[in-house]
Amino acid sequence: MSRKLWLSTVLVVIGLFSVLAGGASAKSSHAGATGGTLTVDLLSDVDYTDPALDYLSTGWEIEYATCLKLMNYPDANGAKGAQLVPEAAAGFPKVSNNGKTYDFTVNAGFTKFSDGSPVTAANFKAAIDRDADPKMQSPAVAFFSDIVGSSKSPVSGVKVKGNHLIINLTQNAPDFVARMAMPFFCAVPTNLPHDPNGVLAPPSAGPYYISEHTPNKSITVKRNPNYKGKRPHNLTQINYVIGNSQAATYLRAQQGATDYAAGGIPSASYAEAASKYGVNKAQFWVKPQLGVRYLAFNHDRPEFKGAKGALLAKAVNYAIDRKAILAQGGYLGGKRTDQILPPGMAGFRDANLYPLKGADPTTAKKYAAQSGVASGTGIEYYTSSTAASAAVGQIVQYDLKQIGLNVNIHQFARAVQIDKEGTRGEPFDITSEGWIADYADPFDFINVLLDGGNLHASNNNNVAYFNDPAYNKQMNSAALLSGAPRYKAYSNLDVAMMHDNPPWAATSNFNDRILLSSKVGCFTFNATYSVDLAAICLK
Amino acid sequence: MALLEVNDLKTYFRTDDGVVRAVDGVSFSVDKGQTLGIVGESGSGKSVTCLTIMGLNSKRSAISSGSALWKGEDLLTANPRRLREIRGSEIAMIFQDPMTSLNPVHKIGDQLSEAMRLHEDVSRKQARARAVELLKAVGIPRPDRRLDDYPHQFSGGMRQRVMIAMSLINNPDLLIADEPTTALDVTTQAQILTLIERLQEEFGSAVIMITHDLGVVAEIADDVVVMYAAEVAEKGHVEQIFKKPHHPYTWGLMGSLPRLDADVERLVQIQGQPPSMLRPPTGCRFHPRCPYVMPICKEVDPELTAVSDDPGHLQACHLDEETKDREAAKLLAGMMSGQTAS
Amino acid sequence: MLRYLIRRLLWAVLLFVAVTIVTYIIFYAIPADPARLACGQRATPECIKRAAHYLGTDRPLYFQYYKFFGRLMPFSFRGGPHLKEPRLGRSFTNRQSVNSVVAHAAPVTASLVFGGAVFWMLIALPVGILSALRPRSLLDRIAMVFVLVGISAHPVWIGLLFAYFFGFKAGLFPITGYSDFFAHSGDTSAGPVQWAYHLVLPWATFAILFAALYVRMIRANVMETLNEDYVRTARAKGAPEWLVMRSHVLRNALLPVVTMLGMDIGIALGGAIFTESVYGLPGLGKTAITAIDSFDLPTTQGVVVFATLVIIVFNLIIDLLYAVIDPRIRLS
Repeated sequence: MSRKLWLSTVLVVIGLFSVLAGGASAKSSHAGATGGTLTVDLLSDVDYTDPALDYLSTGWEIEYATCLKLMNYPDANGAKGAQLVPEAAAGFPKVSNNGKTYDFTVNAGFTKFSDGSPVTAANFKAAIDRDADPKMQSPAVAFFSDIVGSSKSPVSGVKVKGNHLIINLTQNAPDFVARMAMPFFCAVPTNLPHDPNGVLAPPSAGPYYISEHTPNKSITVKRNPNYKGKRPHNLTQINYVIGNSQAATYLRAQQGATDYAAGGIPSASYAEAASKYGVNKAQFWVKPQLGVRYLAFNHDRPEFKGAKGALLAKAVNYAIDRKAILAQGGYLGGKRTDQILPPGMAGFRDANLYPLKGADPTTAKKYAAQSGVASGTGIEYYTSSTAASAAVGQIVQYDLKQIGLNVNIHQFARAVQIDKEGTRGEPFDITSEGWIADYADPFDFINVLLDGGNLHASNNNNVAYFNDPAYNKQMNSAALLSGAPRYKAYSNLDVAMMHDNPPWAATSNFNDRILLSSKVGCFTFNATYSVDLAAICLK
Repeated sequence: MALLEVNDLKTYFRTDDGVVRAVDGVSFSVDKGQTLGIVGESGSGKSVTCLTIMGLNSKRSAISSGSALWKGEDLLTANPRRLREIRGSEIAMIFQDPMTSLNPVHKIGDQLSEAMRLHEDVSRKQARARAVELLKAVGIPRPDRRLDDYPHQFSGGMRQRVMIAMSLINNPDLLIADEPTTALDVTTQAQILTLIERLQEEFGSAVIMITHDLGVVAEIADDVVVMYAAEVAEKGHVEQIFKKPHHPYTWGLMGSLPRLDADVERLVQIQGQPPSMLRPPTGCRFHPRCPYVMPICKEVDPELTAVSDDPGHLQACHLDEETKDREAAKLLAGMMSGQTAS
Repeated sequence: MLRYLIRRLLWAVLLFVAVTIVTYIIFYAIPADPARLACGQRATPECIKRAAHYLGTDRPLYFQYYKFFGRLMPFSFRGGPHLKEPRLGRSFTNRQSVNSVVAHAAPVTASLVFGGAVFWMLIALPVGILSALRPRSLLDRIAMVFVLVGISAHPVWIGLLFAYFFGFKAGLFPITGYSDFFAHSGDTSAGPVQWAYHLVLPWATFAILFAALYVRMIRANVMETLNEDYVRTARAKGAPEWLVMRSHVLRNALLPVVTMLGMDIGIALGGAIFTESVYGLPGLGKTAITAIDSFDLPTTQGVVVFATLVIIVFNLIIDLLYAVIDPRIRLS
């Protein structure tokens, strides 16, 4: 998800997926008046407003309000908002053929596209065909490559029979329904052009539609007059103003010139905002996201290789001061962690593996001694060029000095860091990284980031170059499970890897810090899509 | 009555370092149609004297006292409007450097007609006709075609001719020429001097010729004022000065005249630099450079007094007449041989 | 004159090629992969391969430049020589036509720079001239303090102060934002009044540095010109003081200001980056910053190309204008 987010590294402002628990306190009184115009400040433009191309958290907030999906997350706070429910589908799909065939019944009489055309099963096939068209270059390919014939458009594994949408997969994939709830797969008009440059204001069948998008300047979202469904649609219009700095946005939100600081405010101002408006009371909301910051250990390097390497990895996990590291992300920037999966992700089990309150140099020294690492060994540390990253680097440098390691910090532009650390053989020992869920499933963390069977020469997501055959096997079998056994398997993997052979030192989970104006009367935070624009009402 | 009568003129400049006494009690007069030469080294105050008369010193830093009676009217106390009327029409001035004295962005013709139209209510056409007439008078070939040229299209000598034409366009009664030939090469110098002399006759103007070159003075002046360090060292009729110069400084100036017989030893050389007018020397201001210096020179500033046997000839030096006679004679003997040789 | 023009144009072409090549080389030297960025966090190898092909980054650098140059030329020899629309390519990040990106951003920057130039000249001319005429006066001293502050203070800092005090505290002007000069149909939030209202603070911010530089320059020029011999000549002619000032002092003292204005357009475009960032103006500077941040070569290159053209054209105009107003310059 949120590629920008991922680009802008540790200082994450907004997230897509977030925790199920903790959201319960958000008020969602629908008592507020309907109508009115909401103004939203965005630091920089979403890359696309075309659902086949949009891959940015802020963009997905808009998609959540505009898209009609087969299955969707309800407009509700907390755990309720994290449970998939049918939207355009009449119910959950019928799964057959050993979990390889999904049969959705489309029943969307309650709505039409904003241009007046009706919604049928063909509109969902049109979305997949569009994503699959190589000409479109859609990043969605990563999320439906297991559909039969997905490399060509139209996709042969997707068929429309009356009001049925039948999808055939190459293998059993229990997370498929969750993936189908991504905006990539929302209903589009069958005649929507396969324009590789993206359609700026495509018609949509959700409560709202994008009426205008002037790149780098503004996005106008209006109420879909043809929508008669159950989702809320209080506001008449939502105006995105693009390009205001965070400092300006902060002032504008206080003044009421903007109603929602979607681009965030300066990280130094969060403490002030918290003391001014209180946390999770009315205007300032802090919500956990499904994301993790971590220090990845390069397992191609002698220090972290094999059983001795595992001991050094444990030593580092004991040695680092997670409290000090998190403090660099600004007030309420996140929550300390020592695990791969974020709390709130299905399968997360709190395991208490390493010290969260501060460093434990005594234990760390013990493991370091056992690992046999020579005192004074140099550790090449990669991070991005922001000031906060530099500060974290210095903390790590100090902490590892205590166990006899000499950390050399190398800072790069974020995009350069991604390129370097993703290239196998790059001479680094530790890199500072972050990951936010693409969709709410542990596969997106465990398999995507740590499956050693999936290493390439370059562009690796597994920047720990972690490749343990036993764990690889467990990951692959976990991916084929569904329901409670799936989450139990991932939970065990998470705890076992972090305890026995830590691929990383996880440091914290991200928080979404949301500032609204005093005009906002009701606010719903959806665990999956963050701020629920459709459910906002003004006083 | 004299055309211009300057009495005890003083001009001091306030600067960051203190007060500079640029002119310190100068008196002279110019009669109608006459030529007065003011001679001295640079910094002796001769230019400032004339700028003070014209009211062209910076009002912010200059303080003047004394009087400059123009046809009986004191220019120092005249109001600015009256002063502007006089400037350019009754008294005109030409400057040392013709290369910078014309505005580079205006056409010659416009600068000439501006000078006329500022004082006379004439049409553009009339002014241009007059400009052509003047350019012709100063010897610029095909003047009608050159009106629309810019200053940079003229040579230095030609520009000085244009300046002269501009100054004479309103038939002034007095022309002040501030070192008009210094910036020019030797042949052009002579031409310009001849031109001034000829035009003076033609237009009947009086002339104040400021120069550091006694040769120029000898050639065209009727009266001479020798200035040194903001004061008058000696003044008189040109013949008086040249026949019997009374001041060692004048001797020095004469000794500096260009000489062709290089084998004849110069009799007098002025040693050293002119003094700073911030803190002028006590006593006679020339004493630090004077080869004839006596103890009294360091104490008492000599008064400008008439030479007893030479009415109208004034000088300010403590030396006795005998020494002066002897030295002047020696100098003149050397000069004569130089002159003959040329 | 013609020869001069031809020589200037050849120089311009050379400069243009040099600037664009340098931009390419700098981008090439940075080890970041735009294709990887285009595919996002969960980039698959096939997505990256496809994206690289689409973006053209799988071809050698010289070939990419050749394609870029070919697109940019207003003519083509493919299928017989013919004229075509010069194109700057498409953005790496949102695949928008860079032509339209630049076309949208340029009016914003033009509003800022030209409005700002008017603003700074309105300050610099009277202050510069008056302080030259009254050196060491109270006004002159205040002006010199202003110059010192204006030159030292960073526009971002000034911008934040203005936005905070005039926008937030006093509420006199919008804190940030831009409003179009020409309103679309039915859009009441745009139009010349809103345009100017939104731009007052940016103009002031943008103008301060240049106003300071120009006050200093105009003051120095006027003081120098006042001491010119031809000014004395004008006074000696009996010209009244206003005429001396207008016709002889200012005419000459302000000549170099005209050239400076032309030369400063380039610097001003650079300065616009800061002002646009502080006030969230969707102009060229902001576009360039965003593009550089996201390794969007075509958009960056588009802004560079456009800015280079503007600077070249401006310098040419100023040179020609200078030849008209200063007779000493002869274009031969």
